[in-house]
Amino acid sequence: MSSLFVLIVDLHPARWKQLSEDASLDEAMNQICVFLNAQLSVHVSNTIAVIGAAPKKSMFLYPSAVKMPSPDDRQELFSEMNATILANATKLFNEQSGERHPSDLAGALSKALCFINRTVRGTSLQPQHTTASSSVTSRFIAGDKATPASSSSSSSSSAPKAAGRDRVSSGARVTPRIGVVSVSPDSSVEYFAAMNCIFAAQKNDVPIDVCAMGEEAAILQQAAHLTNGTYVKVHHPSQLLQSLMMGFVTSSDAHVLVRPVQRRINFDASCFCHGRTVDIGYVCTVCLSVYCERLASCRICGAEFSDKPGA
Amino acid sequence: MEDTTIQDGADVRAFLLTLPDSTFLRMYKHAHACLGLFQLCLDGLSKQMVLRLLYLPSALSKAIVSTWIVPEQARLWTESLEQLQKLQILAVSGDGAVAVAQPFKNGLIAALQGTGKERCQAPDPGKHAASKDFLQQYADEKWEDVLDYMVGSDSLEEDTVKQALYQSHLMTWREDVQDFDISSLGFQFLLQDRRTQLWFYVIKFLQTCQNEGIDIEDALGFVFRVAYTTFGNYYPTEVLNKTEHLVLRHFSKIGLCYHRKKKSKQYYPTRLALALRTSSALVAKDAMRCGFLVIETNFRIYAYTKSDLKISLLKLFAKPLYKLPTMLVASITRSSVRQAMAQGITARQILHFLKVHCSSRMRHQPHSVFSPVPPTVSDQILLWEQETSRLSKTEGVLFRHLPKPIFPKLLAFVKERQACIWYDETKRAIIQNNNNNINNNNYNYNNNYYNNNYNNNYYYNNYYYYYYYYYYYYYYYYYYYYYYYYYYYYYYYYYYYYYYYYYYYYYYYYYYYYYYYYYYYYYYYYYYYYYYYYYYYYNYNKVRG
Repeated sequence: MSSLFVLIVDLHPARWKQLSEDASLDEAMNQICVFLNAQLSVHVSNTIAVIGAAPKKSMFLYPSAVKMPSPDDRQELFSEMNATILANATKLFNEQSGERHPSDLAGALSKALCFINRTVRGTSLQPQHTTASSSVTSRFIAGDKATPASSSSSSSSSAPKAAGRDRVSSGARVTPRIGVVSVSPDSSVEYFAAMNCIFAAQKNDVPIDVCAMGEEAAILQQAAHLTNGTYVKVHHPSQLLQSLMMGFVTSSDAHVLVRPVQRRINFDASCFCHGRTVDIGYVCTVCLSVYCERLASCRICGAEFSDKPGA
Repeated sequence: MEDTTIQDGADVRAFLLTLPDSTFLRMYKHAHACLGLFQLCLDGLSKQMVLRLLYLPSALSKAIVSTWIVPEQARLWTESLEQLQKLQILAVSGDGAVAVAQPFKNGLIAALQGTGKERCQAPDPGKHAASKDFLQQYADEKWEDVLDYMVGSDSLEEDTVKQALYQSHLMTWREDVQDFDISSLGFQFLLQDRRTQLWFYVIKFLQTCQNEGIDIEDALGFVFRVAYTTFGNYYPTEVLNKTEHLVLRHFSKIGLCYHRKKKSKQYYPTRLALALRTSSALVAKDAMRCGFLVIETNFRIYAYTKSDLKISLLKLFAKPLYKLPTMLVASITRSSVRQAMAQGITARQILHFLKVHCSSRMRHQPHSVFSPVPPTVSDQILLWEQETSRLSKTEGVLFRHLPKPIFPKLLAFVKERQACIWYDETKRAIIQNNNNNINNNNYNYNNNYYNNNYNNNYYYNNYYYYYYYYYYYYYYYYYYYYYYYYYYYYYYYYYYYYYYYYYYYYYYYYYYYYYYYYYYYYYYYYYYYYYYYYYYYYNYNKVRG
C-alpha cells in the first residue's frame, strides 16, 4: 500500500541560530532530503510533499508550482527533487523578516491537511484499475492555492465515505501521514488554530509524527498523542536522520513495530481570554472554554455563571 | 487483484533466494541494483528494519533489534532476518550483532544520496534519435509480436525469444502436429496484466542465463538498472560488458529497450522497461487502448477489435458466435468456462482480464463501484469454478474402534500435528493424513506415544482409572434397568420425604437469619448516613464562609 507523506519543516531563523552553533540549516536539510528519498524508495507509488513553516508564512517547498515530475521519472529525479527543496527552503529562510513571531505551524498543518484531503479524494474518483500514484500527481494543483483549514474540516464529513468505498473497490489506497520537524517551543498565539488542525487530522485518521529539536513542543506532543503518531526528541542536530529513520513510520506494516512511548505528555492548555498557558484555570461548564480568571459569563457561548451555590 | 504477486515482489524474491551468495556481492556494486532490490523484493517490515539499521555507525545486538518488534509478530521478524541474511543485506556477526552488510550499505546509501548515478554520457545519436512516440510504438509492436506468436501467428522472427518461450514452458512440443504449441501455463500467462507478464518472462530469461553459465549478477544488475532509467533518455552502451550487451540485445528484441543496431552507441529504455518498476507506467496507455469489451448481463461479449491476439484470448473462455470486420460477438457459457478451467485458467484470471479490458462506458454503470463486469456474470463464473472443486481427494488411514479412554488424547495428538482429516467421537474413529508430520518425524505413535507416557505416572494412573470407570459405568447401567420398578414404587415416599425436609429447612433458615441481617444493616446504614450528612454540611459551610 502506498503512502502519502507530508513533511512540515520549521524554518524559524532565530530558533535555528539558537539551536546550535555548528548546526547549519543546509546540513539538516540534507539529512531530511535523504530521509525523504528513503521514504520514496520504500514503495514505488509513495508520494511526498514538503511544507516550510516560517514566521507568519508557510509555503510548499515541494512539489513546487513550477515543475512537476511525472511519476515515471521520479526515481531518477531524487537529486532534482532535493535541489528544489533545498533552494526553496533557503529562499524562505532568508526572506523572512518578523523573527519575533512564531512559526506558522497552523498554516502549514492546514495546508498539509488540504493537500491530503484533495489527494485521497482524487484517488477515489479515479477509475479502479489505475493505481494511486498516477492520480496523485496528475490531480495535484499548485500548492499556493491551498485553502484555509475551515474547508478541510467542513469537507471531512464526506471524505471518510469516499475513502471507505475506495478501500473496498481497489487494493491501491493511499495512507496519508504528516511529519513535523520542529525547532520552536510552543506559542500560545498559534494554540487554537493548531489545535483545530490537530482535531481535523484526528477526525480524518491522519497520524502526525513529530520530531522536536531543541525545546519540547507541548502542542506537538498533544498532536502526536491525539492522532496516534510518534513523538521523537532529538538532542543534537547530527542525530536528526537516524531519529527520523527510527521514529517516523515509513511503511504500512507499521503495526509490527513497537512505537516509541511518550513518557510525559504536556497537556497544558492556553486560556481563551489572554492566550496564556495555564496549569489550573476556569472552565465553562457548557462549552468547556478555558479561562485564566473568573468571569461572570462565558465569552464563547455566553453562558452565565452564578455565584450562588446550588443555584 | 491487480499485480498482487509482483507488488509483493514474491516471485522475484523467490528467484533471488535460489541464487548463490557470491552473486549479490557483485550485484551490489551498482547503486540502482541495490535500490531496485530494496524497493521491489523486500516486504514492508524488512524495508523498515533495513532503513533503521542503515545509518547506524555500529552493529546492534540481536536482542536490542528484536525489541523493536511487537512480541506477537516476532516470528515474522525471524523469517525476514533469515531472508535478509540470505540476500546478503544484513550481516549477523558471531556474537549476534546485526548490521547492514557493507556492500549493500554502500550501494543503498549511494542511491539515497544521489551519488551513485552513471556519470558517463552517451554520444548524441544525431539523426537516429528516437522520439517517445516511436519508442512507444516499437515496444508495443515487439511485445505483441511475442504474444501473437504464442497464439499461433508467424510474426516472430527472433529465434532466441522463441527459445526463451520454450525453456520457460510457456510453449510445449506437440508430437501430433510436430510443432510448438502454447501450454496451459502459456494461457495463464496471456491473461495476466502486462507487468506480471514482463516479470515472469524476465525471471525465466534470467534462469535460462544461469543454466547456460552466463554471469547472472551482471544480467540481474542490468535488469534493475534498466528499470530505474528515465523514459525518453538514451544511455551509453560503452560502459556495458559482454553479458550486459547480450541482455540488452535480447531486451531490444522483446521491446523492453530500443537498440537500433548492434554497433549503436546508445540505447533507449521503453515504457515496458519502466513497467518493471511501477505498474503506473502502463496504466495511462492501457486505459485508452484496452477498453474494447462490452459485457452484457446475458453473458454476451461484444469485442470491438481486429487483433488476432485479443480474439484468441477471448476464445479461451468464451464461445464465439459471429465475427464482423471490426467486431466479435461471443458468449460466456458453462462449457466454455469449464474448458478454460481444464487448461488451468482460474476464474480470477478471467475476471481480471474482463475487468481490465472493459470499455470505458462500462465503468459508468451503477454496479461498477466494485467492478465494471456485471455481477451476474462475475458471480456465475466464480460459481462455475466452485463446481470443479466440489469433490477433492485426500489420502488417509482410517482407525476405528479406538478404546474410549485414550480416544480424546489420540484425537488431540493427531489434531495438533494437523493430520486429522475426519473424526467421529461417537464411533471413535479417526482418519489420519497419509503424508504428515507424524510419519515424517519417524513418529511411530503406537509405540512411542505409549512409552513416553508410560513413564509418566499421571497417565499410568489415569489410564487405569478410566478403564475401571468404564466398566463400572456398564454395571450401573444394568442395575438401573433391573431396579427400575422398585424406584417406581418408592416414588411417593421419596416425594413426601423431600418435601418436609425442605420445608423445615427453609423455614428455620429464614426466620432467624432474615431478622439478624435486617437489624444489622439498619444500624449500619443509619450510622453512615448520619456521618455523611454531617460531613457535607460542615464542609459546605466552611467553604462558603
